[in-house]
Amino acid sequence: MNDHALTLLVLLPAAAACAMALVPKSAGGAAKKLTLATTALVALIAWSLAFDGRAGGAGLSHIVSAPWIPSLGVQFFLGVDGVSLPLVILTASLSFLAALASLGVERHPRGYCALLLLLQTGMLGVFLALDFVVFYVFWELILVPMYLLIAVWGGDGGRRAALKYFIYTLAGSVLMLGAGLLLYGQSDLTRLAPADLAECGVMGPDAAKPHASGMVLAEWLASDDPLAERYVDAEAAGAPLRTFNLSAMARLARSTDVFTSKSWGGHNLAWWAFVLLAVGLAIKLPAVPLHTWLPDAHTEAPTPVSMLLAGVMLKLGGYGLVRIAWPVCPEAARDLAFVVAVVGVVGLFWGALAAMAQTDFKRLVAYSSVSHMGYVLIGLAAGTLGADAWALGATGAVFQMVAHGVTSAGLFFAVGVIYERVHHRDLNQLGGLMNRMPTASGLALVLALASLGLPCLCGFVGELLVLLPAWTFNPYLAAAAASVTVLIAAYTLRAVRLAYYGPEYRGPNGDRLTPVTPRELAVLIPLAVAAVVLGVRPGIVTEVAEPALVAAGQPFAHPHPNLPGMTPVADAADARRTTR
Amino acid sequence: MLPTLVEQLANDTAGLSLPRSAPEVTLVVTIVALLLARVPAALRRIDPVWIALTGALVALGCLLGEARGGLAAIEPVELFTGMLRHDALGVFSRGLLLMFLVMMVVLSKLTGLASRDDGQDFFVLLFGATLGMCVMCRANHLMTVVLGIEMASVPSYVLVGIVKGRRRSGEAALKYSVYGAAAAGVMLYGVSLLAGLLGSVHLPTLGLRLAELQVASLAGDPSQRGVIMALALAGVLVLVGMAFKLSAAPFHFWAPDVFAGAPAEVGAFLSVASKTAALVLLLRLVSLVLPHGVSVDAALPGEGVSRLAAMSDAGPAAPARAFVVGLIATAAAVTCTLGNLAALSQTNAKRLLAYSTIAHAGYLLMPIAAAIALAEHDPAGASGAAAAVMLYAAGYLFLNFTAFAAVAAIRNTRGAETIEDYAGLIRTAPVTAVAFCLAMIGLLGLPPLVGFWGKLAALRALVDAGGPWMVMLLVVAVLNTALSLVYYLRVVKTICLDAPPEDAGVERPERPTRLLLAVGAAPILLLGIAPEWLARLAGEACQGLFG
Amino acid sequence: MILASLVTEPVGVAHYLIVGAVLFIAGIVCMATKRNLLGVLMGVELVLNGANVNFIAIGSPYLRGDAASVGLDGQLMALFVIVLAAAEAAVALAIALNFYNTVHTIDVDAADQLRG
Repeated sequence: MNDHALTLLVLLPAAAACAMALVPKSAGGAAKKLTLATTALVALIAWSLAFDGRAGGAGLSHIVSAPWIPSLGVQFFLGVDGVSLPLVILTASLSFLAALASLGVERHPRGYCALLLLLQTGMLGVFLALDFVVFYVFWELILVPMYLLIAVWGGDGGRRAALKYFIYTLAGSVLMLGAGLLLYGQSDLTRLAPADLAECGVMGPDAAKPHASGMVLAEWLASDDPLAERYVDAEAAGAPLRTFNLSAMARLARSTDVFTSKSWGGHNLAWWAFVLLAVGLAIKLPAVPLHTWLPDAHTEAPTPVSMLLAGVMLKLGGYGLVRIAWPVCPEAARDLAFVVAVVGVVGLFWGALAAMAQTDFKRLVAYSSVSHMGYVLIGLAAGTLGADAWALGATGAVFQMVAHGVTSAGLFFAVGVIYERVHHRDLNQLGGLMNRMPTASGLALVLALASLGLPCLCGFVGELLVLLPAWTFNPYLAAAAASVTVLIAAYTLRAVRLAYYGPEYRGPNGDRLTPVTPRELAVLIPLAVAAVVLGVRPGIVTEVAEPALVAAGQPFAHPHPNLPGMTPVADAADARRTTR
Repeated sequence: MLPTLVEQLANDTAGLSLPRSAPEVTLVVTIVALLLARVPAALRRIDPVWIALTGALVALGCLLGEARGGLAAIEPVELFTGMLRHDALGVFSRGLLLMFLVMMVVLSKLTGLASRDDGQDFFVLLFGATLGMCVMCRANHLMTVVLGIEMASVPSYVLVGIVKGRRRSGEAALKYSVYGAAAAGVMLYGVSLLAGLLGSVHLPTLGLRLAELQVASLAGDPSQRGVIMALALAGVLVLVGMAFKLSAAPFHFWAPDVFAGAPAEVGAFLSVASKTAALVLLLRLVSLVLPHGVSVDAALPGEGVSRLAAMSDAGPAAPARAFVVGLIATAAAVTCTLGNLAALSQTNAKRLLAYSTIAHAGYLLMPIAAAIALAEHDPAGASGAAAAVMLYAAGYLFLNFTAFAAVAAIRNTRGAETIEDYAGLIRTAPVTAVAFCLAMIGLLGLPPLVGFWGKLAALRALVDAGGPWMVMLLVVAVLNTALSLVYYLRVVKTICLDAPPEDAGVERPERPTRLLLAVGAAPILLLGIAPEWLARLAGEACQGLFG
Repeated sequence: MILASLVTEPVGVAHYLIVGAVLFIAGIVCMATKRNLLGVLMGVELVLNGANVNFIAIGSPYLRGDAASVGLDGQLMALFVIVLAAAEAAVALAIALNFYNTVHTIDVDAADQLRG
C-alpha cells in the first residue's frame, strides 16, 4: 500500500496553485491566506513525519511507488530517509515562513502566490524523489516560477539577474540530465541481489519495509506488475533491464561493475557521469567559479524569495551530490576528492573576501552563502577517506546545509525588515538600529552569530564536523578552511556593527523605522530559536541523518590508499589514530 | 487470364484496400464537394468551412473506426497490390494528421484566412496536401513515395502564396516551389537509380535485394566499387529529398523565407503536418529498405505481408546501415545547432519559429539514427526509438499549433509580427499570452510540459543505441537545449515582463479564437503531466516496425 | 575507359543511364544558373525527364533481361512522373504569374525581400 503522506506533501501546493486561478482578481488577501494555510498544512505533515517513528534512519520509509510512464521506464517513486527528512522539514518550515513574509506583497498577489506554491512543490519533490526522471522534473519545475518571481517582483536589476539565474541553472540541469541518461544506459536491474531489489523500492512499497519476508522476489515476479514482466523478459533474454531508480543505481554501484566497466578517454563511465553531475550540481550549490548568478539573484529577489533561494534552493545542489553523485560514482568521488575539496576551500575564501568588500547588506549575505556552502564540498570530499571520515564529513555537510538554511533565511529576512522601512540596504548609511528596533536587531544578531559559527549556535557544529575529517584528508586545506572563520567573523561582525550598532540612525527615511510587527517577529523568532536549538542539541539532525549516510557511504568504508596530499592509511583504525 | 486478373484486382480493391482507406476516400469526396458546391447558386450560400469541417470530422471518425480494438491489434497488410502498407504506424500517424486537419480548418476560419467567398480554394488545397501526407504515411512502393511527396508538396506551394497581393507571399511561394521542385527532382533521380540497382520498386523487395547484394562482401571487392558508389549516390539523393521535406541541414534554407512570407496558419501546417508525414516516410524507408536479421519467409508482394529473409548474423548490409546512420546523425547534429544559432538573432516571430522548426527537425532525426543503429541487434529497441520519434512528433503538434495560432491571433489584433510588438501581451490578452508562453516553454523542453517527454524518449533511444555517434548526438542535443533557452525565454520575457505599448487598449482576440488557443495549449500541460497514454500509443504504433 | 567501351558496345542500359545523367546534370545547372524564372522551371522539367529516361531504361526487359529489370513498374513510374511533372509545372507557372503580378518581372533575382 502506498503511503499518502509524501504524495500529499508534493501535490498539495500544486493543487493550491491551480486553485489560485479560481480566486477573483481583486481578492489578493484571500490568495495570501490560502497560501499561508497550504504551507501551514504542508509544514504540519512534514513535521508529523519527524515524529512518526518510521521516518529517518537508514532505510527508506513512507514510500510511494506507482507506475507513471512505464513506456519510458519512469516510476513515480518517492521516499524519505535520514538524509532527506531534515531537508524536507527545513523546506516546509521555510516555505511557511516565506508565506508569512509574503503577506506584504501588493503587486499581482494571485500570481505571486501561485508561483510560490509551485516553487514549494518543486523543492519538496526534489527532496522526496527517488527516481531520476521524477527528480529532474521537480528540479526543472522550479526554474520558471523562480525566474518570474525574481523578474517581476524583484528589484531594478531583477530581469538581468533572473535571466542569469535561468541560464546558469538550465545549463547545469542539462548536464545533470546527460549524466543521468549515461547512468541509465548502463544500469541493469537484473544484476541486483533480491534483497537489494526489495530495499530500493522496485518491488513496491511493502517490500521495501525492513523485515520484509524473504519470498518477496518470487511473489513479485508472479504478480501482474508490468515492471515484473519486463524483469522476467529481460532475464530470459539476457538483456539489461534499465532503470532510473536512484536507490537501485546506488546499490548497483556498490555491488556490481555496471558503471565502471566501460571506458572512454581513459576514464570509466562513472567518472564522466560524476564530472557532469558535479559540475551541474555545483552550479546550484554554488561552487566557485560557477557562482556568479547567485549574488545578483539573491540581491534582486524579493525577501521571501531570497529566503527560499538561500535557505532551500542551494541545498538542492548539495542534496543532489549526496543522493546521486557520491553513492553512484564512489571511486570517481574518491579520485576527484582533492579537486572537490580545493574548489570548496576556494569558494570559502572567495565568498568571504567578496563579502568583506560589500556595502550592500543583502549582497553581503548573498556572498556569505557562497562562502558557507564551501563547507559542504569539503565535508563530502574529506568523507571519501574512510568510514569514520564519512560519518563525520557527510553528516557535517548535511548539518551545515540545514544550519545554513536556518541562518541565511533569517538573515535575509532581517535585511528585508530593514529594507521595507528605509528602502535601502547601504551599510554605510545604516546604524543605530539596535536602539530603534531592539527586538528585531537582537534576533538578527543571534542569527548573524550563528552564521558566524559561534559555538552553541548551529553554524559551529557543521563547521566542526566538516573540519575534523578534513584535517586527516589534507592538513593544509583544513588549516585554510579553518582560517576562513576569521574572515567570516570579520565581515559578519563588520556588517552587524555597521547596521545595528552605532549611536543613531542617520540615513534616509529615518522616521519610517517603526518597531517590529508581530508578523515579522513570527518569522524571526522561530528561526533564531532553531539556530540556538540546533547548536545546543545538534543530535536532532545528526542522529537522524547519520544512519542513512553511513548506509549510503558504504563504498567509502574501505580507505583508498592513494589520496594525494597525504600518507597512505591502512584502514579505518589508522584513520582514527591520525585524527587524534 | 484477363478476367481472373480483373476479378482479383476488383476483390482486392473493394474487399481489402478501399475499406482500409476510408479516410482518404472521405478526403477526396470532401474535395469534390467543396469544388462542386460553388456551382449551383443555392449551395453557394453555404460557408465552405462547414463542408470542410464535416469532411475532416468524418475522415477522423473513419480513422478512429480503423483503430477500434487498439493499435496493437492491427495486423500489417499491403493494400492496392503492394502500393500502400496498412499497419499501426499508418493508423497512428494518419490520426495525428487528420486531427491536425480539423484543428487547421477551425483555425483558418477563426483567423479569417479562409473567408466565405474563396475559402474553398484554401480548403481544397489543405485537404489535397493532407491526402498526399496520408499517402506518404503508408507508402510501401517507390511510386507512392514519390506520389505522396508530390501530392503533399504541390498544394503547399500554393498555400504559401494564398494571400494575394502581398509581395512577400508571392516571393515565398516562388522560392518554395522552385526549391521544392528541385529537391523532388533530385529525389526522383535517386529513386530511379535505387530501383535500377536493386531491381525492384517495392520497398520490402528492395530490402530483400539489398540483403542479397551482400554489400559487406562487395565493399571489399575493388571491381564492384562502381556498384557501391552508385548505391551510395542513390541513397544520398533520396535522403536529399527527405532532408528538404524535413528542413534538415544542409537543405533547410527554404524554411525561414517560406515561413516568413507565408501566413502563420500555413506555417503551422507546414511545420507540423508536413514534418510528421516526412518523418513517418523516413521511418518506413529505413525500416523496409535497410534489411535487418529477422528470419521469416519472404513472400511475393501483394500476397499479404512481405517480410525480409535472414541472411548472415552480422547483418548483410552493415556498411549500408553504418553509412546511413552516419549521414543522418551528422545531418541531425548540424541541423539542430544551425537552427538554434540562427534563431538567437531573429526578431520576426515567424522566422524565429521557422528556425525553431529547423532545430526540432534536428532533434527528431536523432532517434531515427538510433533506430537504424539498433535495428541490427535489438529490433525491440529500434521500435522503441521509432516510438520516441512519434511521441516527440505528437507533442510537437500541439506545441507548434499553439505557437503559430497565437502568432496568427496577435497578427489579427495587433497587426504586427515582430517580437517587440508582443510586449506586455500578458496584460492585454492573457489567454493568448499564457498559451504562447506554454508553447515556448514546451518547445524548450522543460518538464512538466509535453515537449520534455519527447526529448527524454529521444535521448533514451540514443543511450540505448550506444556508440560514438550516439554519444556525440547526446552531447549536441543537451547543449542545444541549453542554447535554445535564450531565444525562447526572450519571447516569454517580452510577453510577460515588458510593458505594453500605450495605444494597445483592450485587444483580446474573439472568444472562439481564445477557446481554440486554450484547446491547443491544454494538452501541452495535461500530456506533460500524464504522458503515459500517448507514449503507450506511440509504442504500440511502432511495435514490429523493425521486425 | 568506361565511356570508350560504351561507344563500341550495343545499346544497353548504361547508355540510357548516361543520357538520363546528362539530362539530370543539365537540369541542375539550368536551375542553378538561370535568371529567368521560366528557365528555372525548364530546368526542373529536365531533371524530371532525366529520371524518366532512367525509369524506362530499367523497366525494359530487352535491355537487362527479365530477371534484373524492374518490368512494367518502370514504365508505370515514368507515366506517373510525366503527370506529376505536368501538374507541378502548372502550379509553378501559376505561382510565377502571381509573382509577376506583384513584381512585374520574372527575374529570380528580384525575389530578394525575404532574406535568409
